[in-house]
Amino acid sequence: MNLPVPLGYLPHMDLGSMAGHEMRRCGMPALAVLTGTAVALGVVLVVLPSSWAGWLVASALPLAFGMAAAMVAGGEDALELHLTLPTPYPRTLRRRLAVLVGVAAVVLAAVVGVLSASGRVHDPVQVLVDAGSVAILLLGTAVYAAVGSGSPGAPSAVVLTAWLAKLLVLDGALRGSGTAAVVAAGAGLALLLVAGRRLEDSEHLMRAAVA
Amino acid sequence: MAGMTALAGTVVHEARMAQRGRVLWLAMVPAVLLSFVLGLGSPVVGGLTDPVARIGAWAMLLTTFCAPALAVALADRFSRLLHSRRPGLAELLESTPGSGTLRMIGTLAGPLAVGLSPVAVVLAAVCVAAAVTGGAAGPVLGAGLVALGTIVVPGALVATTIAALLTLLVPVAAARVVVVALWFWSTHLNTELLAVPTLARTLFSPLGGYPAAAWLHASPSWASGSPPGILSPPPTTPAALLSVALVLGAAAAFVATARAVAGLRA
Amino acid sequence: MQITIEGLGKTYGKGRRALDGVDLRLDSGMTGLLGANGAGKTTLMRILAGVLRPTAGRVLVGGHDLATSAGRIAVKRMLGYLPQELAVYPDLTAAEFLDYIALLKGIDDRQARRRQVEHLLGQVGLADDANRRAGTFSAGMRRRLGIAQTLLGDPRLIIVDEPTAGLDPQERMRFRALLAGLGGDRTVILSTHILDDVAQSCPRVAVLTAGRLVFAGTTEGLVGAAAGRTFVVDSRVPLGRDDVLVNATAFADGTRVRIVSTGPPPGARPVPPTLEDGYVALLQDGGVTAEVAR
Repeated sequence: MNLPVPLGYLPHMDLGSMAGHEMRRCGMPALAVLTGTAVALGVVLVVLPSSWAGWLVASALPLAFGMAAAMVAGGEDALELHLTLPTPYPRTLRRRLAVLVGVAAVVLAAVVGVLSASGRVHDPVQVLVDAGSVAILLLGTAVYAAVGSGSPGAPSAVVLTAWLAKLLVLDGALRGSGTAAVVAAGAGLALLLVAGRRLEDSEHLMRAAVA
Repeated sequence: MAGMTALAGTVVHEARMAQRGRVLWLAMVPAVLLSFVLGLGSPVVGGLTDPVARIGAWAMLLTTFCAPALAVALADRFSRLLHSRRPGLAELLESTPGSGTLRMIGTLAGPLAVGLSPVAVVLAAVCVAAAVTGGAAGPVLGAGLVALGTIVVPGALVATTIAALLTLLVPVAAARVVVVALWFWSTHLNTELLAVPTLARTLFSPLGGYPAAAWLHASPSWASGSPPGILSPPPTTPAALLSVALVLGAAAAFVATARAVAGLRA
Repeated sequence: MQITIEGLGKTYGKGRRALDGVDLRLDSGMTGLLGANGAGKTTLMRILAGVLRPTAGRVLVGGHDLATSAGRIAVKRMLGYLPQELAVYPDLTAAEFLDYIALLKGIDDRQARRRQVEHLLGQVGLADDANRRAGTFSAGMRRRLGIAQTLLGDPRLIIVDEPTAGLDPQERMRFRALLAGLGGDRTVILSTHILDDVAQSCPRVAVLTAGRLVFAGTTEGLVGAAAGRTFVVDSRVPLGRDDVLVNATAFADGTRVRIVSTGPPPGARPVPPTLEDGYVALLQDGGVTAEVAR
């Protein structure tokens, strides 16, 4: 039987400091990749008109996001220390991914807003929905693969393959409906759920880290 | 001689470590499976009746999806030589008498060979299927070897070397995104999608369109542009040889640049 | 705080047995954990830290059962842990690194956190380097930063794996003084290959060999295992088959060797044993002494 946990040592978080730390641990490179891709894409599409602008944004930005998520989920070097801290590692990872998701949402909205204002994108809501569904798929893929491999390399490659599969298989099979977006988002959420369960198993994480 | 021994040792041991680890398998198996599914369902690949043309198309398809996956998975190979996650390993390797360039090559070549093994297996299966369904075994086997040596390996080499070089110049996460963008820009960019100049369908394209069109009965549209230009001549044997040499030369140039950058940063 | 370990076993994949039926009770104070490489020390410490789950047996830490999720979380709230290999974040300064770990340990008060960080950086001799990035630190400085994070939050249970590896003699002495000064009802488990650290700091010691506990008792008890069996002899004297050479020292008139022996060679001079001798004697006996724990 467990004794009651001593009071006064419960993790009430200093949210400001914690957010600052998690933003840094999230990795400036990961955030820069996302922002850089968004800026580059926005500039290219404003300078070079394309009737595919919406599709390009909804495809390319989630890929950068997925790669960054793979980096965040698979890039923890001090894993053993985290597994001994009172703040569970899955919670720490969720915080870092939340930072990434927040940045991704802002840059996506900004790019779509700019392209919409310049007349390059005609249905911004559709672009946001499509990009969101792919992003959820790739987020789930990244976290699931990172939990299995313990490094950012393999998850990044799996994210790329999942992205191609969405564009070339799923979109081809479910053309012209919102079903592909629903299926992609559903698959991403399912992967997140499974990965979340595996994240609770510290022994599995340690094994993956040394494999 | 000692340098070659060190190179062989590096290749063998890096390959052994890659084969025992999960990273490459986790990266390559989904990419190979995706290529397989797309190839089976595609009339321009699985639907071809000419066995040699089918092998060429499969090789380009596999290269399209597997080369960038391999590049992304192996992107940190060169940067790990400089900043290994294992304390002291970088110094230990640097203290050995072998050439740093050869060690760099071995560090990439070993895992590359392991990563390409599932691709070679699929290609072999395609060759067997082509031989069974009417192709003569000799030409089919020859086509398989040509496809592997002039399309799959050079494409994978150039993708992985540029990814590894990029990680010495920009953060690894950025290098991974940039290499994916570069890959599809240089192999498949449709200028109707985005009107920017591209290496796709030129001698420089790492997709292997020239050898496929010149030697493996692939459609000339995989190689030269329309109309043909100085960088995209008609797919003749000399043009195909030049294309393979350019792609391999680019890979060698990326390794040499990486070595120079690593020397500056060490 | 009391730790009770009963019938603890851990088997990894492919049947590799890292721990086998370990029974041990640890009370407050410092306990040294000794054993050869691969003896199961790190596995035992990871189980105590809640990172690994045992495949057999039971562990109670301060009354919390580590088999349950609630038990593991409760233990982590009072734990300071230093892994054998700790990769500190190279892009954070020493102070930022400690601030981050302090937050994850639940120290939410900014002032309290700052005070602790400053205090601990001073304790480990890094006060002047508080604002330097950890990526520029030497191995010894990184180790000291690791020690500092272990002590954040005033933990009741401290588990340190090879804490003094890579530290120079002065740093080692500082660390030993730091641990000795903790006091209170803390339980400290110190795993190390440096027997001197245990001899200087730990009143109790446990020895693992091939996953089994072969000794648990007082440090003097382990030293006593070599009482009457420790000798110094000229190196030219041939040693018996069962004599174990502990060390050799060169002098102007020749080299003298220190041995643990049940039947000393002619000319051997008996000397008082040290912990090193006791450890050697224990291994010589196949891990059986009067103070073997169960």
